[in-house]
Amino acid sequence: MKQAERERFLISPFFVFFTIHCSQVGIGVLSFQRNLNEKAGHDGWISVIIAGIAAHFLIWMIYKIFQLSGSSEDVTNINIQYFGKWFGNVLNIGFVVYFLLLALIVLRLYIEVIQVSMFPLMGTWQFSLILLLLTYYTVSGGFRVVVGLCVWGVVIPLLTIFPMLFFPLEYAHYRNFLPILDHSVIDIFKGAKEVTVEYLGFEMLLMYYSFVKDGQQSHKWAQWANVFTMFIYLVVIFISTVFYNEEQIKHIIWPTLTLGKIPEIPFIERMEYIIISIYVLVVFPIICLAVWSVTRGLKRIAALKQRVSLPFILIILFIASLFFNKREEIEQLGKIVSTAGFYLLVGYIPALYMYASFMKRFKSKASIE
Amino acid sequence: MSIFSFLFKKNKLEKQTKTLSHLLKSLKQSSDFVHLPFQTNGHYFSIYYFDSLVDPKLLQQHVLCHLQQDLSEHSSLSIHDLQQIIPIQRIEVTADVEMIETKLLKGFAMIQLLDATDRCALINLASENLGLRQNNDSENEFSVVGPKVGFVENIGTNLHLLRRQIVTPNLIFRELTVGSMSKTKVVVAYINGIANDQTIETVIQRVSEIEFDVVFDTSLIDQMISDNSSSPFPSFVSTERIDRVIYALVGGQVAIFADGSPYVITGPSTLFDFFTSPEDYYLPWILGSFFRLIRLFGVMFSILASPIYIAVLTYHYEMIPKDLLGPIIFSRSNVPFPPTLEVLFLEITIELLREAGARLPTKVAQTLGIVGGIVIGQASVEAALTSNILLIIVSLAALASFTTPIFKMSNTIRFIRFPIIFFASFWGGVGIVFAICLLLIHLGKLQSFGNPYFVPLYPLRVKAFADSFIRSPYHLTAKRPSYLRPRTFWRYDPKKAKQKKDIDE
Repeated sequence: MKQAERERFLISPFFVFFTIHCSQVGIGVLSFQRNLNEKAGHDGWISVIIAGIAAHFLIWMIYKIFQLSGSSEDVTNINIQYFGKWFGNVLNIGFVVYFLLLALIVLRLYIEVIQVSMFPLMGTWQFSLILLLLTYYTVSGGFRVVVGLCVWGVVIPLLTIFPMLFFPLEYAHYRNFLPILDHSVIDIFKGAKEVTVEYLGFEMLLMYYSFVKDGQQSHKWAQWANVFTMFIYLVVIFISTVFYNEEQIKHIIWPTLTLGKIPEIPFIERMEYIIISIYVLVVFPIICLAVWSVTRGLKRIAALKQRVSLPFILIILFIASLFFNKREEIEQLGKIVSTAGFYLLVGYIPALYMYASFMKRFKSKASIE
Repeated sequence: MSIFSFLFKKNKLEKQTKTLSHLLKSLKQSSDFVHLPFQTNGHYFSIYYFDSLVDPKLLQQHVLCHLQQDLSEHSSLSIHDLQQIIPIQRIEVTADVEMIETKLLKGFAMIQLLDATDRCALINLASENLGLRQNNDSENEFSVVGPKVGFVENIGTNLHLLRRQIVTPNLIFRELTVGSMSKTKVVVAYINGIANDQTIETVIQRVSEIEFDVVFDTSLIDQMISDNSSSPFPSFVSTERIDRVIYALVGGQVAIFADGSPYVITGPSTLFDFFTSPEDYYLPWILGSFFRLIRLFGVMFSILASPIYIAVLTYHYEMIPKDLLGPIIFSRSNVPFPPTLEVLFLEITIELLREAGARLPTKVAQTLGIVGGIVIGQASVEAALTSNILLIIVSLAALASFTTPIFKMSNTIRFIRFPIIFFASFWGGVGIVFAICLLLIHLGKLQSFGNPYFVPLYPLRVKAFADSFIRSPYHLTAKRPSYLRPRTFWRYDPKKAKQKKDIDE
């Protein structure tokens, strides 16, 4: 009976496509070209593909971990199962803190975009407050509502923002790509390391896996989501490579937004205002998903009710968002989060996977003997 | 507290021990309650009835006349013999005081034999249609093509109209009584074998749990059984059109009728149900789809036009191209207000016009339209209270909001424009998207009888798109929408309906 009751809160495997894609493409897509360009120059698109393939492997590993551990719960369970109660909970707290920081950096970065290009005089607290109030309304509706928002966060920007990116092709210099493989393999891999951060977001699957009906069946959708993310990044890097030259891109903080200034129709100019506005729909689901993951994690670790912890988390986020005012501070925070995310991806997940498969083999051997 | 509970208990006790004489005594306080002592051929009767509820013709022709003439043939008379004498169907004989009370109050006459006063016969003499409309031309939900018969205030007529078109024994009416004062007859209608059992159960449970005194209209029931009563969006379609109700029933929904109300509730509803018009199905599918798309566009325009005007003119004037800047400056140069105030002024004017038009008698309302539309509009532009461009935008938005076929939904659209206007005036374009986000989340949270409201968009049901944004040809809509979880899926055989033939065959 409990199973049937729970069914109401689950999402069908298909929706994993939206949650994963939505959490991957965030604020980073506006600005990743600059860092990538520093490392890999016009060969950046190769780095994007390499990082994308790495992300495929990592997603595969996450699903394998859930399969091997035999648990269809979430990562908090698995940590305790493999690392014992004490160390496992330390890792779990690490996860919660990481998701909290993720929500914070996404929130702060987006507010920065708004402040720089739309409302220079408007205080951080206004947008922070309104976004977090909306987050409260969403997350208190449960995971299904959050996923619903993710769907909109994919569909609406895809229909409105994405087509605008193609207008600059009018001024394209396709020779910017040549010569291909101009940079050394090491440079390209360094670039790939920069881009890996942009694929971050699918690790939240570790928290909401138990909310997917027939978890393992969602694997193919997760992989398709990653393919789609890679496609979006490739399109963006392609257009920025042919539109900007290498020197130009170094001086632009948000090259994708600048691309948005190009399209013009008889009654609208400066499309980047529309892009920034609609970008709420890109950013907001990530914040909701991350905040939901935090409250869920706290529930699993400390048996804290989500309704109780949610307001506290939001207040913490609100206060924290007020502390980062200068560009350097925000960049510093961003660096911390992306480093943590990077090591979570290339360190923790493969390690857990190997440990899990080792344990499985060990156990099956023991049972045979 | 204890005193009250004591009183309450006492009340209850009294009710239980009420006898017939008590009842008659209390009813006699009212001057329209008639006691008619009667005597023929040595039989003594008393006839009791409410003068205001009973049809005098029925009483004279079918009861009094037959009692006077035919009684002589019966030498000994028991109360059960009345059914043979009086030519009226279903004469009930009972000693239940509660039942006697409700039936008397519903327009029954009570006949009591003086020899045996404990049992009485109840005869239905209610004048069903007295003072009620006989027909309804469904002018509030008009369609040019198609039947123009609407439901009326009499529930018997309404059920008759329904059963005439759904000729199947599976059409089930379940009768309930709602309202402690009005004792309104409420009927839940569904088609057995199509409608989902769980939905039916939910509906009946919710309707029977209603605690209220007088049910004026189904819209009261609508509010009391809705899943989220603090939402501006209506949870259920309420319509006066027969074809709409039949379409809903055939699709697997449930309909709720109430006596005294020409509007019928159908549910579980989705957002798109409110934007479909029966005419979509009477026109060829291409035209039907086109008009439906126009309607949906109208809704979007109506909600977003004036907020976008505010956002662009207050914060994002860079977005206006050079060619357009000239006319805007020209029309706005004399306006002393910021765009927000300008829009609010005009929007509220339009709302006033609408509200006044709805409240005034029809003939006066026509004049009002002219006064409002031409005089106020033109004068406010000339007085430099608003700009010409805004006048066009706001009146177009008002026009677009009238395209919604269901009145409740068009009210909602009228309302939700205002929060978005405020969002836009505070945070510009970002504010508008905030508001849209809020709207999307709210719609995603809403439910109608436990069914998701925003289906087929979320949860995504690709197959149900056939009859949402567009109205697909009939061979594609042979299957009932899955989100209603109907018990049988096929409405008709699509292969027969399709019949694709080769060229020249």
